[in-house]
Amino acid sequence: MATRVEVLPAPEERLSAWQWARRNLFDGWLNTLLTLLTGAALVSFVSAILRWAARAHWSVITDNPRFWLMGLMPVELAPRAFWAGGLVAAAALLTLGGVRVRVAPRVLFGLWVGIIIAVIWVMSPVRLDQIGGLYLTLLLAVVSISLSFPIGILVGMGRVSRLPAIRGFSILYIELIRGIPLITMLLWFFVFVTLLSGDAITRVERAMIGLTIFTSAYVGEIVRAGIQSVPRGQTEAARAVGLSAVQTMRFIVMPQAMKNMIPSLVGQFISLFKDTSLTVIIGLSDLVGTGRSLLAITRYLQDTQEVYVFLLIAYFCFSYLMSYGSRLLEKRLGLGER
Amino acid sequence: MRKFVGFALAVVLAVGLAAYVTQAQPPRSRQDIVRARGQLICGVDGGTPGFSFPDPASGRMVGFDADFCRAVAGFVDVPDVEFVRVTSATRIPAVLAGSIDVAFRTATHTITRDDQIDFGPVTFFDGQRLLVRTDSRINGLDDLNGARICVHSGTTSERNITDQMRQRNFRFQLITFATAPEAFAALAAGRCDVFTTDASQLTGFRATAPNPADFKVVGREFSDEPLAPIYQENDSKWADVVDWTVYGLVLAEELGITQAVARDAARMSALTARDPIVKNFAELKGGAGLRAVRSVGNYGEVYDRYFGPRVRTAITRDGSRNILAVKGGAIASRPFR
Repeated sequence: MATRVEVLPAPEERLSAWQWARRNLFDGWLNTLLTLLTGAALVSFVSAILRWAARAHWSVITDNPRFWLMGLMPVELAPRAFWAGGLVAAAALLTLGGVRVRVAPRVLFGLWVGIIIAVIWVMSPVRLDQIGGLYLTLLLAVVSISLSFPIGILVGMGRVSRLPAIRGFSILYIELIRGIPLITMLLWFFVFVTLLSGDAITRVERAMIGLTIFTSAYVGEIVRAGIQSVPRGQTEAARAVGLSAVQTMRFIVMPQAMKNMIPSLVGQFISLFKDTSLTVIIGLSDLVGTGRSLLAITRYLQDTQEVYVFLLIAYFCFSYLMSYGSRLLEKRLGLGER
Repeated sequence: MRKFVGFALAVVLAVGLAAYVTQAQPPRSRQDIVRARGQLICGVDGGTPGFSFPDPASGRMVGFDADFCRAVAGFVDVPDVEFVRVTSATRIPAVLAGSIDVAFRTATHTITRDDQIDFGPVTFFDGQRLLVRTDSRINGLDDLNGARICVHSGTTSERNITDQMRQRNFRFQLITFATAPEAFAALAAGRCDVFTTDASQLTGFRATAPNPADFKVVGREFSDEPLAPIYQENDSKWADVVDWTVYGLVLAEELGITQAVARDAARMSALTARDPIVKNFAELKGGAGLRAVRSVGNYGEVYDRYFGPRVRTAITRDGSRNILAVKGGAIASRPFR
């Protein structure tokens, strides 16, 4: 036993599985009891799920890939949508590979511009209102995220602006929107726009605008918190060396604030992604809406559980992908290591 | 000051011009709009078993409501129907704004709704009843004291059952669900004693349960839900189109004109030679009624396609209000002459 003292740094303990289990799971009667109880609960829970999954009717999922992907889009337009989806998926894979081998960001940017133009060209005969399923969910999420990000930054900067008019407007906007539930906002916006403009704005666009207005307010608050997390000394030093207010914001404050904002921003965007499912209330056929209409088909009437379990898995996969991506980004930016 | 006056003048002019432009347009009937478009835009729910749902093979919208949309398109003689999914919250604004021409979306005809929009003839008479497990001792509303009641939240069903319970001074526990299937699943799992909504839905849920004999629909109908098409107010040309489409399908059933007959010129001419009413039906309004029957069949055929005895969403028609008026029901036509 005395030899232990000489071992520095800490000894590398090689525990067999049995030793590890004894040390962590079965030390003392209380822990043993808890381990056994939890284990039993876990086993019965998992086996119940597996037993259910084995006799569930998965045909509602496996037989309808087109529905799940693009909802009620006319069949003759489906090949175009497949092509567009394939292009985007290919671009995403290329980007992942490109990031790994450190291709210049400019190349990736060019790739995406090209892909987006190609997709718009392929999808040109498809009206926005004809898109459904996973495509609609992703489209709503991507468009609302990419619109609410810049708007949110503007509003967030306005919130800390020294000009009273801009600050007042930003505060009004943020507080107003944050005081309304999203579902109320979507409904109100849908009805209001319908009565004002008729069909000038499609239902999908209305949903996009509603989601964007809503999320921008939250992004604005995240941006404000990010800006205020940068020590005042930074701004003062920048002004002291002669940078203008705009330059200070652009080169000194924002880059630092942005790093601090990433975790909350990703959280907000994941929440936006999940919130797109609320558009069912205005009659859009996103993933959830498609699931609902599949459940009305006579032969799938009993498959409620299967459909909702599938939706759960689908939403989880995409949300997890987003948070995984954000963790990679944080690592790359060296967050948490300063 | 001069700047302000100029600005005010510009605003007045702009508003006046806009008002003039909107005033100057003669009111166009939906009928002309639909014909010019070459397509009917029809609102349906898209997720109600039997009434409207996608056909898995073709991806087209089908169902009782969807077929009536196709019949209207046949009546105005446009080749195509575009289906727009509307929810109970969005159907009336969508009709008001004209983004849909007509909606067949299980809408109950009520006097307050009629203030905003117009209703066509009733296509389906529904009413709220109770669904219980077969071993239950509940036989009607009077047995519900202390019961746990599952409902689809925010619907008239929820309000109706609450009113009925309050009238009787019953204690009860209301368990609400976001969708009707969830409420039914809760009944099946024993979380509540009774599930209540419109009888058509209850019959549908019962029919699709793994073992239909486990459930029974009990009690009398304690609400009246005549489901009818909705369209914009003050457009009587368009109202005629929708109304006579429904009347046409009903009359076709009375006269025994099926889709097969309507599509067969020889059999039609044999019928018209024999029966002057059929002749009128085939000729009046340019044969519009016959075109509607050609596209979806008569009322009975449409009913049987989605609620007939051989379909899993079967809803017994005999003895209900949904049989023809001539057989003692409430589905009535008007004379084509």
